[in-house]
Amino acid sequence: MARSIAARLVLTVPVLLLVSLLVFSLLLLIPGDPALVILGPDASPVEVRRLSRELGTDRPIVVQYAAWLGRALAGDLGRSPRTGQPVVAAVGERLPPTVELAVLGMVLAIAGGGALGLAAGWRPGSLIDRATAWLATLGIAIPTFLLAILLILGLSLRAGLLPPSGYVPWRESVAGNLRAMVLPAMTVAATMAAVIARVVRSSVLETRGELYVVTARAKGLSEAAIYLRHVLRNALVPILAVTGLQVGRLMGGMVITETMFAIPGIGRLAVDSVLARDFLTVQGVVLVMALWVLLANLLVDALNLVVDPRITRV
Amino acid sequence: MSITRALAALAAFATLLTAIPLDALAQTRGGTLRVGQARSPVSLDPALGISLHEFHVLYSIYDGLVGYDESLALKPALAESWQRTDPRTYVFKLRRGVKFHDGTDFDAAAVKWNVERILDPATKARVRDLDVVEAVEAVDSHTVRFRLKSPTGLLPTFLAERGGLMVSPAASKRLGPDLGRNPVGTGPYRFVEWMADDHITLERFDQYWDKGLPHLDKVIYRIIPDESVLVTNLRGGQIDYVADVPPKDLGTLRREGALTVEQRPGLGFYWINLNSGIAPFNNKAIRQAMAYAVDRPAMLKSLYFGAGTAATGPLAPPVWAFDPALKGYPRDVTKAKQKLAEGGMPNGFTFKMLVGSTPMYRTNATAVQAQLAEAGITAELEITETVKVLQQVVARTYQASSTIWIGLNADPDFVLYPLYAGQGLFNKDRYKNPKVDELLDRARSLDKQDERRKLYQEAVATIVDDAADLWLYYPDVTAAMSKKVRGVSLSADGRVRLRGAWLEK
Amino acid sequence: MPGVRSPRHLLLTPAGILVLALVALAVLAPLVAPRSPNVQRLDASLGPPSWAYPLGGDEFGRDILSRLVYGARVSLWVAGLSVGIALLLGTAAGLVAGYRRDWSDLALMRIMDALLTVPSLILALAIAAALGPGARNAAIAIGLVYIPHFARPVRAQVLSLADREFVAAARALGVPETRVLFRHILPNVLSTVVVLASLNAGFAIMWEASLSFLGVGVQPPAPSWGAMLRTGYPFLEQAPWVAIAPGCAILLAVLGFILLGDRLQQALDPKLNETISRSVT
Repeated sequence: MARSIAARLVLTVPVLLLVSLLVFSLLLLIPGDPALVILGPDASPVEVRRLSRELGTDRPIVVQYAAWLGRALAGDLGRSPRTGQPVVAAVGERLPPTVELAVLGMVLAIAGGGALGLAAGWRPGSLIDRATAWLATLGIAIPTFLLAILLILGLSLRAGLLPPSGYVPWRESVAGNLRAMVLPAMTVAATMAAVIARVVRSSVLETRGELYVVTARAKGLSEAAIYLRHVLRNALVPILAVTGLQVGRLMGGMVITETMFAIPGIGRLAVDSVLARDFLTVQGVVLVMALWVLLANLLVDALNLVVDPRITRV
Repeated sequence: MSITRALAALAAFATLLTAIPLDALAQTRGGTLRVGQARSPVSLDPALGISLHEFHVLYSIYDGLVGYDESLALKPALAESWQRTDPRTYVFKLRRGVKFHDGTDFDAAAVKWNVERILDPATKARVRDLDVVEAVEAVDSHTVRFRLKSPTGLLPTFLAERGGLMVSPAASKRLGPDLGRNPVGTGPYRFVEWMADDHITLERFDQYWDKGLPHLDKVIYRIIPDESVLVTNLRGGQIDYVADVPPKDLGTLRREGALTVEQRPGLGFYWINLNSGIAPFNNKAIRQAMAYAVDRPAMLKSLYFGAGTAATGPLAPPVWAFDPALKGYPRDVTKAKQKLAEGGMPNGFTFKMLVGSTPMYRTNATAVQAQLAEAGITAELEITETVKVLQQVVARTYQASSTIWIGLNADPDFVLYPLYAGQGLFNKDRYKNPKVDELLDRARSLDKQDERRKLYQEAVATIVDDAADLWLYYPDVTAAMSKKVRGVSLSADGRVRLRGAWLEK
Repeated sequence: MPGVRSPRHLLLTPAGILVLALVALAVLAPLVAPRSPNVQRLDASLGPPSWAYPLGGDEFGRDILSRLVYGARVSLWVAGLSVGIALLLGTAAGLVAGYRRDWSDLALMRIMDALLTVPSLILALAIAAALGPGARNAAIAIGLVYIPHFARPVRAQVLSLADREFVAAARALGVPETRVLFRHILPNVLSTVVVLASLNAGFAIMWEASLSFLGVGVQPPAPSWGAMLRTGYPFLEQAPWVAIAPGCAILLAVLGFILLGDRLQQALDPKLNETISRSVT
């Protein structure tokens, strides 16, 4: 087990390199001199040339990439030309709210989706089953921002139950923080919950027909005990698989969610930076996100091996 | 004492009570005011920032040498008085006993240091008003003398804007470029923290020179980019004050009655900037055709929900040289077509209009496009980022652009000179009219408002006749706040001033 | 294609009807729309649904119904272009990687990994922003980001097919490699590709809307559903129809394509379910 994990760790390096190369190459797509874009139109040609030299944009792109990579490995992701703040600091500041939102979202998705999937699988063909199927399809099909709008309209503006947006830091108020996170977490969790519900349902159906469940029933164990012991444990496997696959999607959902609920996370930083053509920050953010996804996948795979040693590695 | 005398005394006492303004009576100390705004400042260094909404924060942290009262007339601030001793010299007497937030003293040396910092090319200051200053000297610890390159009556006004906001020299030397994120001034509130794109926190400066002020303990500026979310937060009580309320929400907020809504005419205008330096807009008749084709009142009513005034020229009503008798161009498609023929293009023509990323620019451009089409003029909209638009505008390769002009104060020079003078910052190679140049230069050098007003009104009449640009409408400045918020007055420049603010308990 | 049931059967399902209606709307837009999508009547700004404007008027007093109909064109065009790009490039990559199974496989799959590791919305946003505003650039961005969603399942399919007897037999008979690829493997992969195309067309429509909502992609005054939602969203309180109409349209279109994809999956080969859900979701 340790060997395969180590192997995976080694493989992440080339992937990360490719990711950084990918993002860096986006700079090639920007028409015109990045220095001019940054300094704005009223810059003198002398200033533009100076910034160009500072940024290194007057050198061939391969050299630029190498320089950036070198600095990145030393922990320096540069300074945002937009705000003057070091990229590492900017990302570091924004990470906690995003991590919190991601964790809350995943918890909600696993709990909600898992519960629905279990209920649906227990009574296939019932109302719960069909309702779950529809909800799941809806959850996958609905655009994130539409869901956010509906949630804000329904639960916040009309019912006044929850704050419509904003982020309350832990230091100020734990209760306030959690209250403000409810709607965003629901928005983020929707798609993942839908997929989990589907996947858990089919896993439950599969498990129920398995031999050892039949045997257990014959032994006289109650339905509930069977469920808890065997079905749930088997359902964990696909849940983990889905979580791993969905972590990347989750990030995308968070971008829109953070923007709509005004949460100061890295998703919003990404959008603001992209729209402001602050590609240096974008690179930093994307790198961090990629790292996160890779680590999450690794974690999921490791957990997978623990949960079900029957899985063969591909 | 007879009953009558007693009653009379009682009546007198009651009248006395009602004469005392409620505000002054009930001022309470303490509390945190939460202000919401859609755009985040780029820098809190007054020399480096670029937009109006930064002033909402700047005015809490810094004082200027000169200030504005509610009607935007100049009044003393850090400078107690000033005198123009000859056409090119001003002497300012500074207030005593003023300290910066870091404890250092505010004095003439600090003023000299600030002005020289702005003029120093290494600072890369965006504000260029003070370029007219040749030299600044500290005559004594609280007297400063300015020598100017050319005779201008505008120095005090310049010193009420960014150029006059005083930064602590000690702090600036210590922090260098980080000053923009760690500002130190003399203002009523001192800087505490700035969480990028989320909030800025300020707290009361106990040694503020205006004793008794400020009343609030803390001010928090929340950055909420989405305007609808901003308003929702205001209604929900998560924030207490919003400047720049979206016009579509004004009616709803007033009807709900839970908030105080303020609205008054503003200084700026939405407009279509025409490049009169190149074809087709170097032709006066063509420009006039455009002016006749646009339906300003309809746009104001439908697109801006009536929160403004239809424009006649580049000066908005609160500007003291505004001429209410000036007739602009009413919508008249027939006249428009006539002017087209006069200009040699009876079958209309096609041109490109640049539009930046702000939604209102696009909205205006879309409506204007449809209206021009009725006169046979085809406008092709090129919607791109504001930076790209600015690049083309500066390079003068554009034909037209839909944008806004933000008015800073009530002095007509601030609008007319940069836009319509031959040497104007935004006018090189664009609009040329020697008569207007002469009027504007003369008006600048004077300092009596009545004399200047006559000159400006003549200049504007010419500019409007020339149809130099398409001025659409003057948006009102607005603010909405919780009923507990007092002591914040809305001026025509729309900038939030929290010096006297207090919260009712 | 092996294992296909009658296509007519598929088209008559609710999903099939939805998609057909969408395509018809897009193609026949000038005939279906009651008026031009760009004519403004400022005095009818934000007017509620009425006889003249069945779905109400937007902020310029334009007919929302007509704009919705013409908007179908933009949505379908973007979906088509992006799925086309992803399909062609992704299928090619998957075929090569799955069949050759050498260094090219390793390299291609690592590139796919990289593409998948970056959160797709950010990547699409960055590409679209770098290329500039407009429907075409949004479509290119979405297409590029979706390549792995075709490449991976296709590769998995090819891997399982390449071991089957008829391929071994063809090889034994001396059939050249490319012929094996095109004549024998490709047709079997097609069913996977068709299902994926349908599913991803739905997502592409959703993404176009998301990108427009964030400010890149199709720009107003072009009638695109995403752009309509973006400009209509601020008026949610006083004129909800301006945003609800395109919102519903987007939802229905996405649902239609996804459900159709599900149906196709069931009809063509239930075993595909595993392959697809494991490598796509």
